[in-house]
Amino acid sequence: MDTSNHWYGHAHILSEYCGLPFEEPRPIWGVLQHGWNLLHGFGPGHAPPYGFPKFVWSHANLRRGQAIGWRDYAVIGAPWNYLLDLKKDTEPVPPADEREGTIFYPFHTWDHGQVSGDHDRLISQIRDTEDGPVTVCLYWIEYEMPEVRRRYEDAGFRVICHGKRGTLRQGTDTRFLHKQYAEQIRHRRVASNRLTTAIFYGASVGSEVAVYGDPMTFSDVRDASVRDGNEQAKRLFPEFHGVETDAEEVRATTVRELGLDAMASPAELRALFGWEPTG
Amino acid sequence: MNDIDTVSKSDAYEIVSGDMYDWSDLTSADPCPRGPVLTRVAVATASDAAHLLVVGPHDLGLLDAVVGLASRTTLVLRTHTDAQVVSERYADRSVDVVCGDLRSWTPDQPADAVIALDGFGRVSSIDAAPADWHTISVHLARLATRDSRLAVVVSNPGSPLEQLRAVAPEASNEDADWSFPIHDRAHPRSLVDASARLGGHGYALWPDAASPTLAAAPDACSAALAIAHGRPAETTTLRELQPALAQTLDTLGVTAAAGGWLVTRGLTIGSVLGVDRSGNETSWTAPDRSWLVEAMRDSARRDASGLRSRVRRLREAVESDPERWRGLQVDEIGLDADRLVPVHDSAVRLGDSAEEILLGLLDELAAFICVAGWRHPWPAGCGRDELAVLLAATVDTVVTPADVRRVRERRESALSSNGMAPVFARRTSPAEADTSELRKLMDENEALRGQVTWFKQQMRQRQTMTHEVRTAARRDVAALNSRIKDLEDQLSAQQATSITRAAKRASSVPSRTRDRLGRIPGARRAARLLRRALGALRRAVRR
Repeated sequence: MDTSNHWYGHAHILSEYCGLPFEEPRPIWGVLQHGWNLLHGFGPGHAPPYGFPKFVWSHANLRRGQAIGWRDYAVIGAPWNYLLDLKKDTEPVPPADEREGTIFYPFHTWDHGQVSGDHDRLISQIRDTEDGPVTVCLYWIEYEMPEVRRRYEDAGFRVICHGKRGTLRQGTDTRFLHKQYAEQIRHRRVASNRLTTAIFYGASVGSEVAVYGDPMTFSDVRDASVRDGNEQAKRLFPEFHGVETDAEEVRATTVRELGLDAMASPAELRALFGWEPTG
Repeated sequence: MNDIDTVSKSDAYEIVSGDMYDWSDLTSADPCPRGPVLTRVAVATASDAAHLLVVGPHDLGLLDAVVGLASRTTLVLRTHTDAQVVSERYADRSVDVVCGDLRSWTPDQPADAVIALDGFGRVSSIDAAPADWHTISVHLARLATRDSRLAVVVSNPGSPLEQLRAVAPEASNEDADWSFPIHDRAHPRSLVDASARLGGHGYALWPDAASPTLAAAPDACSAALAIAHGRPAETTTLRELQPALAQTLDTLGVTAAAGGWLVTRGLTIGSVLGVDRSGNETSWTAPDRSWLVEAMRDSARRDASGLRSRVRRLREAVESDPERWRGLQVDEIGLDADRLVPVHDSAVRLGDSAEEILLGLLDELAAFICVAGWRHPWPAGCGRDELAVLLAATVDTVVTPADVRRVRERRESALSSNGMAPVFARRTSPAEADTSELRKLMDENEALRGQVTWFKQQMRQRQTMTHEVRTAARRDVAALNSRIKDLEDQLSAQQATSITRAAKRASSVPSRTRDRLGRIPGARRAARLLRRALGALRRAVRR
């Protein structure tokens, strides 16, 4: 099925949640939303094929999609939610006093574009804001760019990468979210210079969240939703922006946006994904 | 047929012109007004009246309820057979029976209460000149006092239920049979029209005019109430009816789609009068309340997760008190502020355990959703059995289609042994496929075609778009962007003559780029940008 279903090991996590093997998930009969966004659950230019169900995280995605005439939605919540469920006994979120420092996710480039922004300015802003140890998590493209990676390392930050999301099922780090989970639960704060998926993940595991600093932008701007996305995010989600945020408000929005209240049971997922015969 | 135009009198009843022999309205195929809702209206009209006039045939049970409530009662019927029956039945009561055309009769005392719950269709003789609705209503007004109490039913030929009833088993192929017949142009076009003409208050009757289970004022008649009462007693399935009914409700509204209308004057009855399937007055009348089937239908139009929350609530409700839910069918479950409420008690046992009761209800829900237009062309929930499995899965209950069918058979058997019919009858032969099912199949077919196209695209993409190719393409696009930027910098630094040179130089960039980069993704876009820059240059030169 759609190869983006495997990004970040989403299909693998859902397979494990359904009681099926983690390593070899069966094809999902539909398209999974692979990251939080302000659109219909899918990125600009990503038109899910007609006739397949669209498995999105939240009702907000569903409403936006239906507003442009898309149908066949099923709201199931983010695969991250299911990872939280799988981890709740084996690797629970530690108490707040056992967590320290900040993990910062700079806005990242992607396979089809470049980000333009001032990393030095951002480093300076992080240094001025955060008082504990800082881990900077780079996207794999920046992580493999020595000139970018070195700047953060030279600033004294611990620099990590959760892995590659993969392309066409090649090079996917199926434990991407596991690594992200492990990092996020050991940090007290999760921050970024843009409201991104990682911020919502952080909020879901009880981290303080913050969005501040140079938001950067794509140099090769092709789509208004990308170009103006940050401004829109600020308007729609002011509670996430700033150095200090209101934990209660953030939590409520996170439940809604990640679909923590819209999770499906293993049996329902199996039925929806076509993972078990229904005839 | 009586050929004497003057009033005559038999021993038992009075005969006026237009009387009919060899005919009975009381026993004809077209049923007479009856049932608890109309009976209650009739009783309210008749109580303590000095002279009650009952016009046209009415069910004997209903007549029994009203006879004796007024000081004097006159029944006007057009056939001798019926006049004979009722005059014998009420021989020892203060009841006068008149046989003949209503227009031929003049009372010695005006009526102060009038009941015409059969409408005006059977008050005149078939041998006399046909009278339109308006003429009869004017005549009726002359028979009663100005402030008389009144209860008149008006048929609504536009009702989907009436249309269904009018459909012959085999349609004729003769052109003449499809032409417009002579019809009554004076018949009220709407409930508002009827109410205005009779000077009364209007009620929508559901599901039909002859034996409604609901009479509701337009303001109080919600779609939920209409749907809940939209099943005629003799129709065992909503499969044929529901799509047309739902569409009419959506487009015309509950009043225009009603099975009939009731106009009352001088009565003190509530804005909603309804009874449940067992004939008891239903308390489920508030317009802001809804029904589970309706909520599920709306959810199914949007997404699967909407179904999930409802099914969860249903499971919780059933598990907390299985006894309470044991005898209910799914269209008897109300929603009050998101809380599921069984709308009446039932002693019938349709299931033993909570699981079986729940699965039976989910199966009926699945049938309803399929009828109401569920289209999810994915493996899950393709048909009634599969959708029932999916609904059960939403509460993490694993069942197979065979389990669903087994529970359904037990449930239907229990219903049958209690003289009841399933709310959704199953299709017994493929020949019964209706248009909605055909449409669904066409949708699925279209979806499958889309899926095939998508797979072909994916296969092509896999063959051509390796990761390395994408990375290279990204690099090349970045190089082109950089080249354009350099060019723009140069242009801004040059004078007009230099600009001309630069323009000439730039004009060859797209062709050189095309030659060098061939069909690399992004090259076309870069070339477009270059052409735009070139156009800007030329304009600058011209200035």
